[in-house]
Amino acid sequence: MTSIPDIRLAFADGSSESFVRVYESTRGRLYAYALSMARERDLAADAVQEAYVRLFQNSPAIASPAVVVSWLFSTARNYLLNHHRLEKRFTPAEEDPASLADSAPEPFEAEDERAYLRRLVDALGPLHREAILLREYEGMSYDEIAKVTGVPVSTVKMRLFKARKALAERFEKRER
Amino acid sequence: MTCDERQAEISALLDGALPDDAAGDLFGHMSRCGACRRFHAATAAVREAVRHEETAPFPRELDRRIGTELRRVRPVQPPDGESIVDRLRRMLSTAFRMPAPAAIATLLLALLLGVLAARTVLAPQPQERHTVVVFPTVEVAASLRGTTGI
Repeated sequence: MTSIPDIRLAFADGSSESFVRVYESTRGRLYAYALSMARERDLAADAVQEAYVRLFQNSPAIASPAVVVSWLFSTARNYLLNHHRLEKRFTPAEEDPASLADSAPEPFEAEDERAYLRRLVDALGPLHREAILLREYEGMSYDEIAKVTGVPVSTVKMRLFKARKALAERFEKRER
Repeated sequence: MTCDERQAEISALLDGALPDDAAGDLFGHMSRCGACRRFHAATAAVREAVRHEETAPFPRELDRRIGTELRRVRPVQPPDGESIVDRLRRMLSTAFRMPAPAAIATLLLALLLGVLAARTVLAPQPQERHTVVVFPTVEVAASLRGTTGI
């Protein structure tokens, strides 16, 4: 990999190993999450950069490696949230994913099932899409998702259930 | 318990977050309820498909961008007990943004060129030949004394 030296160079004193390990193992996941949420490559890249720069500056304070992943996601999320607030595009109210059943995209003819499902996930509102992304793509636990999103575990469970229900209903329609 | 509540349990079941006794009760319900069975099957299929989907590739230029930003936000601090050689190697690699051996080779080459240039400038220039005519003043005076009788 030719790009990691760019990161190592920032730690010419040799203390880079733990940071580089975290960076290598999380950057792809973090970027995919940010891109799914932001839907803009530049904004996603900005959020990812912000997360690693903050980790770089605060790494002594982040004692446990176990919390690093949720900390990174949470930091990127806050960046996106602030950006959306500034852009007045973010609606913090809980959306109703049930509307997906009516508004979801129709499947293309001979469209691959996974591609269609991906479009269904993309059609969910941001909070429910995020719950699905963090649980299914990232494999995070309820606790981790709660830490990233700053809501109680019960809210995480509810968002996941509503998102799955909307996806399952639409998926069932296609299967018929 | 309504089917909606049962389906919330199915969602928890898929996440491994439903206690065993509640799971047994739920399976009992599903054996009698077609709607909940279908929900379970569809949700499991969605979950399986989503989990195996490829994510967007990480852009390589972002590594470079983040690396540059990391160097900008915190200057590199020399660790305690660092030797002069290590410190020099680190400074060179940081300053030239290249591996230490390449940086040292570049420095040596620059030194060599500097020495050659200095030798060229400071070397003695070839001088013009001057014929110094020393007048034999004393002898001339003596001879003049002899001839003129001074």
